[in-house]
Amino acid sequence: MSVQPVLELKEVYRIYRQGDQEVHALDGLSLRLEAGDFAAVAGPSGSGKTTLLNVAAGLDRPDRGSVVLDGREVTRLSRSERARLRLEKVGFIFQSFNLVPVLSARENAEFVLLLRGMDAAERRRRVDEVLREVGLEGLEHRRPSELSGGQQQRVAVARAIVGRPALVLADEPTANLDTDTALALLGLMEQLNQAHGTTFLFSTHDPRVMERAGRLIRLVDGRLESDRRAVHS
Amino acid sequence: MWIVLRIAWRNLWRNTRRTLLTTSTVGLGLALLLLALGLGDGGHMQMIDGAVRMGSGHAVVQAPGYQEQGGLERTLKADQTRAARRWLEDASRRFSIRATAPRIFGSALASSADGSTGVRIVGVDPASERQASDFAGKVVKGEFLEPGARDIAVVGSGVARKLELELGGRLVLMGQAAGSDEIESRLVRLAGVLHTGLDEHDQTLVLVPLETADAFYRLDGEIHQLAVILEDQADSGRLVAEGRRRVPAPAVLGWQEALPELYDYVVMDDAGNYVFNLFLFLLIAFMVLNTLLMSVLERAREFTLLDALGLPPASRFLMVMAEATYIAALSCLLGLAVGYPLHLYLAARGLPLEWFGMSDVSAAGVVIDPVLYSYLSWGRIGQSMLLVFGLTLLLALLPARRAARSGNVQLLGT
Repeated sequence: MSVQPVLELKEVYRIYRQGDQEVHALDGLSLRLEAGDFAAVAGPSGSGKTTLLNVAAGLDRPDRGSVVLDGREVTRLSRSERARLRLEKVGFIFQSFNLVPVLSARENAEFVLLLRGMDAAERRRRVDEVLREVGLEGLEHRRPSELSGGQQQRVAVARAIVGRPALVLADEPTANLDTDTALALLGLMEQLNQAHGTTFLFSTHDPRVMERAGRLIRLVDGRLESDRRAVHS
Repeated sequence: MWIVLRIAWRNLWRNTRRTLLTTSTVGLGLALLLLALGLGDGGHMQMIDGAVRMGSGHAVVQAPGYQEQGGLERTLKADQTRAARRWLEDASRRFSIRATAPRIFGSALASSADGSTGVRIVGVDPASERQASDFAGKVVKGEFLEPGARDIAVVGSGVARKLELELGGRLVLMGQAAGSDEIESRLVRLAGVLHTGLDEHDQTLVLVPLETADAFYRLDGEIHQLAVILEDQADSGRLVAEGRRRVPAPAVLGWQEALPELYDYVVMDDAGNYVFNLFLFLLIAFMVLNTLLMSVLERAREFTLLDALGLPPASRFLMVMAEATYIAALSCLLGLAVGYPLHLYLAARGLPLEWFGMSDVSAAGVVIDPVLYSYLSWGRIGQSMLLVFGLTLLLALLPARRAARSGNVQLLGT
């Protein structure tokens, strides 16, 4: 019996125009992500890694092909419906953290739950739990400008996982972090993946990150070059 | 919802200087508007009051057709006058009626030993007229008409000069009586000279007691007009409406109909003021639009982030509209805080027109007071604040739409 995938892309094309030229950011890409996957997307610059994440989340629309996220065809949804789907099903971690600057660390983490309309007590419990989990106790009331890069990325992770989404998408999450912080963050993501079974799909250039990924997907020119699962000892 | 409003409020203070500059500009614009409206409305009220106190009334009861065609014979019959007086007595319980004044209007040739000139005769009840008009206060020589006295006159300064009249001197009035072809003449003695500053009064006006005018024109106790003076001219419309229901036979007119030239002037002046205010607000509007648009363009990445996090377009739209609402509210508070005390000061102390090199100004047949006093109703203040709110929210639509549509994912990757 086949299990419903968290994310499934079928024959997805995304073509950008640069002057007279057409750039195939995704060129007939098909991909299936199972629940609990801890998958890294690797490839040279311009291979389509970020476009893949954006298309998967419905932030960008493919020119052709099908994108099914948690059982819903993303390409057929309106702008508002896609926003709602992201709110319910997707957590985001960005390379440049992208926190809401006027909100504190706690409020940033709480944001998604507030939008979902979760009651205050449950919201408080979840946010306390996740801030503890990412090691931000004592920093809850600081605004992003008062946090280091590593701390900001931890807030971003907290925001991404607090709503227990079906899928966490991370675009080069360690790119702006020093080695120690990057490894610590990766450890945290692994821990969350193992503890909660959260599905992760992250793009990376970093060989250390690729080594830690449970599944490594390689893209070249918008096409799937390889897709293999790692066997960790 | 609350988180959206909270973010909107905090966004406002990310660029404190810009927010303060914008709210100050809009607020001062509102203060200027309140000042302009206050002085405009106050000036008009003073003009209306001045005109009313120079022989008209906030409302007048006349024979039908008298306003349009005039005519010595077009009088209020005795029973009509009685009915009108009964109604006004009753109405004084509901309206701020200060005085009612019966009047007779006619024309005559006035002659003295030194010449003759055409004059306007106004027959008045001296006691009522002292309360109803400013004529008594404008007497510059001699005295105003004394109650009970007959065959005396107070004339405009121009008439006195032309006829070289001295106090107690004789003046012969010659004119046609009502319903007759015969020429009547009557001798009156000069009791006083008045100077209003308006040629139409000073060069032609002759005030005589009501009984003298009645006898001269043979009106048998009938009058041409019963003028009503109110404490609060805002009551005029309601009083006239009630009068038309209660005393249908005579014509009950408001000052707007009794003084059509003044009414047209006020309407035109108001229109001019509105156009000026519109230009003022268009300038301010561009400032608001610039602030909001810049603020949204600067935050394109943030709006895309909010989209990525699942904040629907409608909420992003609401966020910018909320920011505009905060700006409008702060601006209104500031505008009121600055504009209202200024209005109170100008309402109490006035603005001397001589500061602007203006003296002896008249318009639409009314001498304008040399000191302009501000008058602002809460309705006017409400209108102005609504204008600021409406305009700000209207201008926010474009930036808000832009925020709702933001979704350039390229911005998030770097």
